[in-house]
Amino acid sequence: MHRWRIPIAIVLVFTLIGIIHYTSKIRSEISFIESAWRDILSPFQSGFTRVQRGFGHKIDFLRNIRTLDEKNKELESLVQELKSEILLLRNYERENEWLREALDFKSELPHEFLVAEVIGRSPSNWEKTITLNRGKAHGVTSGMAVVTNAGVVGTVINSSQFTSTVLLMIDAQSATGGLIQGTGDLVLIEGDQSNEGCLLVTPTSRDTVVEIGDIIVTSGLSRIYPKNLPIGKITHVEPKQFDLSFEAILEPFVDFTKLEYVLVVLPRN
Amino acid sequence: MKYVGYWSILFVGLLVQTTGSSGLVIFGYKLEVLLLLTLLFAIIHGPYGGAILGFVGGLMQDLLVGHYIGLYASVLMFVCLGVGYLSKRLYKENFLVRFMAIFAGTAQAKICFLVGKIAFGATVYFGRVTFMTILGSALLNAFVGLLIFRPLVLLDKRLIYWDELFKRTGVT
Repeated sequence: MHRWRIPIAIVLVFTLIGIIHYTSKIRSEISFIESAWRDILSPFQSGFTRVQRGFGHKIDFLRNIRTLDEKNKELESLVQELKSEILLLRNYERENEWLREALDFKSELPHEFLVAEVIGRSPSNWEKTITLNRGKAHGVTSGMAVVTNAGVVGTVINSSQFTSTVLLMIDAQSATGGLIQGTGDLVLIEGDQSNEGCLLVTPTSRDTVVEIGDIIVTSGLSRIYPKNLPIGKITHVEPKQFDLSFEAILEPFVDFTKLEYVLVVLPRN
Repeated sequence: MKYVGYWSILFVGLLVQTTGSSGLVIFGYKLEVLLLLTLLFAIIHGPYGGAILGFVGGLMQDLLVGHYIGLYASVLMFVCLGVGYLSKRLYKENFLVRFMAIFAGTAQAKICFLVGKIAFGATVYFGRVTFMTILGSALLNAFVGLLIFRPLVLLDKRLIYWDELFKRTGVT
């Protein structure tokens, strides 16, 4: 038996290296063991998340109790402002509809959304992923976009029966196309490893000009994200060598540290 | 029996680490509960027990993340082996020894994991942010480790007692 120890150890080491190599890339399909493990964990994660969130809300309430009166007044005036804005927007909507009909535009069907709760996060500091309580059983598969009302969150990279893992836009492995809202120029948006929680914007053309404060939206070219979803605002522009190009820092609209519920964009059919 | 107990402790550690609004973040750094628990187990049980629990804990996290499966498990196994040997040689009842062992173990695990990722083709940014993340997490783990060492030792003793009781009487 003793003489077999070394060959067995060698086989185990090579098997382990093989598994690490095989799983080193993002996979759209996960193994049965991973899927089962995530499904076992998900109800516990859900419960833990709710308990922690409950505590967090109570602590926030106690912290904010002094400023509630001021906030109430602020919100009341904001409601008045928003009411007048809604009236204005209704007018625009009617005008838009009329123009669309006049130009014989085919109105795009609205996307279907599925509400999902964030039940977990990546356990390490190096990956930026979240776990949702919706999986294959709810029609969520890899490649689907995940958004909130504030903007783009990320993409589903794989799903088990009852959970899905979402690669956040701020992860270093994430990359997508975007449009500068003012000019319509295309840019590439990637997770920025040197600025925690920010995105890196690089132009796709030499003529692209970007300024601080520019809003970046999804281009719709990737077929993952619907067009014109807000991504973030440019906060810093750094010219590259000889001023021929630039790199810009984009601050996302979504606060990735406070995600509780998200929307999964389902295919139109 | 006691192995179920150890597994349950690691399971709860993984849950605490992966849930909440943005994971368990203190002073801007994420507390790596699973890594901390396996390092503490290595200090309590020595190199071999620590290595086994390190591998199991790492594998639990690997399977959840679904990326580089086996890498974190191997890293934790070797780091716990090292920390276990270190605490066997030194006087582990001294809080400074424990502090240094957890600090060094956390930093070593993080660096080894990043180096392992690079070996398997990942692009890893080594800069100020990475350095600060490693340092911050190592310090945080070391401080929290000091606080939960005693309760964990008591829990461990209780698990061993229950295990013996179960073996002798067959009653839980």
